[in-house]
Amino acid sequence: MPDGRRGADRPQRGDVSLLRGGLAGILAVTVATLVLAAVGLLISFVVALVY
Amino acid sequence: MLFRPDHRDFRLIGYYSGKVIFGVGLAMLIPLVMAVLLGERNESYAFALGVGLAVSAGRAAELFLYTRHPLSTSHGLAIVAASWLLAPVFAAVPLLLSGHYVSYLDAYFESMSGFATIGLTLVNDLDHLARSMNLWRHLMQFLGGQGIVVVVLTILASAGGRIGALYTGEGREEKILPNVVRTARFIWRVAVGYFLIGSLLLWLAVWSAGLPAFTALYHAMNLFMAAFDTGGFATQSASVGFYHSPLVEAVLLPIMVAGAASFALHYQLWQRRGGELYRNIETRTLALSITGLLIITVVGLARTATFVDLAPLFRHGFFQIVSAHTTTGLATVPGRLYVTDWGVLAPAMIVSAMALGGMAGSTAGGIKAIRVGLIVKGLRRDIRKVLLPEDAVVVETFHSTTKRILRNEQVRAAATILLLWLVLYLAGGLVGLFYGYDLQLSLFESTAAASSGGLSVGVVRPDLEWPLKVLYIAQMVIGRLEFVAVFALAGYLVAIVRGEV
Repeated sequence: MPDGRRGADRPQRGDVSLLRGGLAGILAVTVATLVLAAVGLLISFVVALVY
Repeated sequence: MLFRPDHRDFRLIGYYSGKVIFGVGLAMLIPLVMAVLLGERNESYAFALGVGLAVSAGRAAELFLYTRHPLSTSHGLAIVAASWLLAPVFAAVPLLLSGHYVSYLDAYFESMSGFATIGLTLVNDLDHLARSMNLWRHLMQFLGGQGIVVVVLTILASAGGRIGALYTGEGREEKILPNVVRTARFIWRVAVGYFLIGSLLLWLAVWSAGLPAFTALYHAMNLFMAAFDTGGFATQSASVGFYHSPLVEAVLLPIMVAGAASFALHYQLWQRRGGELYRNIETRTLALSITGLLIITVVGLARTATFVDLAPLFRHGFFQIVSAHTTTGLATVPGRLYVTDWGVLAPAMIVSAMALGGMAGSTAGGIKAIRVGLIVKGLRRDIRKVLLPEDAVVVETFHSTTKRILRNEQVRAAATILLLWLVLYLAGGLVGLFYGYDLQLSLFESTAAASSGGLSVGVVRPDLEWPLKVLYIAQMVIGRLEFVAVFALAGYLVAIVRGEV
């Protein structure tokens, strides 16, 4: 097909590979959780110092 | 126009509910196969009976109630509510036959807790429950969790303005993908993708905690379903505390957070748009709220000197706050300790975390981060209006996939739903008080049931008064379906009572 793939064959917006998408997703969430934990830990130290 | 449903409407609701029950019957084949393979004879019979009942009831409903009546939004809502009430009726059958539940009500409670991803349990002697039966408990969470996301994002979102102000309160009317089927497919794709990665990581963690390889795999899969679907059932009565492993807890944390993240956000992340994590109003609200509640919890625990060292204090405090805020309900300490050892400040923060809940359009329950975020934004806009000159135009924006302008109706709707949530929590607490439980205990348990938080201070136990069991079941359904669907079903039922059908 000269003008590229059509119809159902064409990759559509939202088609993402299971493993790559999943890895990207869980990696992003893990980083976010780590940041959250790091901030929490830092604040806990300050709290512990005060008490 | 008056709401006057006729028999065709009820046939339609019955027909589609039948399809759901049929699906539950098919899902029961998984634990049935496991029971047969492991030679659990009693459980094999129990599941065979469960499959038989659900499949035949579902099929019968489909055969006898078939109608060509067109499907409307109010039908969709009533079907959702009816399905969530009827599915546990059949799912409870094998549980009851396992002999670990005192009555059918207890088994129904357990199934509802599973499908609604609550995590409160009435099981006797969980540590000796057959593996297939325990798998079924966790599988219910997976089915109910993914099911509710499909429902919220497809039926409710595609209905748009029809459901009126109540759902626009989430500040998002658009679907994540252009059509219902693709949206549903993406949701299951996310679930399967995370299931593979999450179970593998959990398997390694549980294995390294000292369990045999096969047992570890079984625990890992169940743990994943409990964490990602923010359910909170556990394979052992000691919950996550059973493993005594910081590694297992560390792997569970991001899985719980992923479960509480909306599928619109997952869609962005899968498309490698990580910036959404920082800009999104819901992630910001959730991060701020978790951090704030954690600080107060840490202060509370430091004051009561529950933990001698900072490391276990932070470890348990952080896990418990994340577990509560994502409305998962997995625990690293026995629930009774919240009352006896954790003072008053830390448990109050756990209740607040459960009450606030995760993001809209996820498996998490509770008030939801978007509503809290919108109300805070609305408040900020109003304060700015007061401070600025009278002719100044104050526009507040928020980011949810794209930048949006905050509208008055959104804030009003969010505040209405917030109020309904508070009434639901308090009403349950009040009934608990009536039965003689302390304010702290009854409010904790009521919030756990309604928000799908599922942590327990020990009020929910097999010898709990039956009216409280019924109340908690009602709270689970109302909270899970976020009022609207329950109101719709109630509308149909009132029509029957009034004889308008």
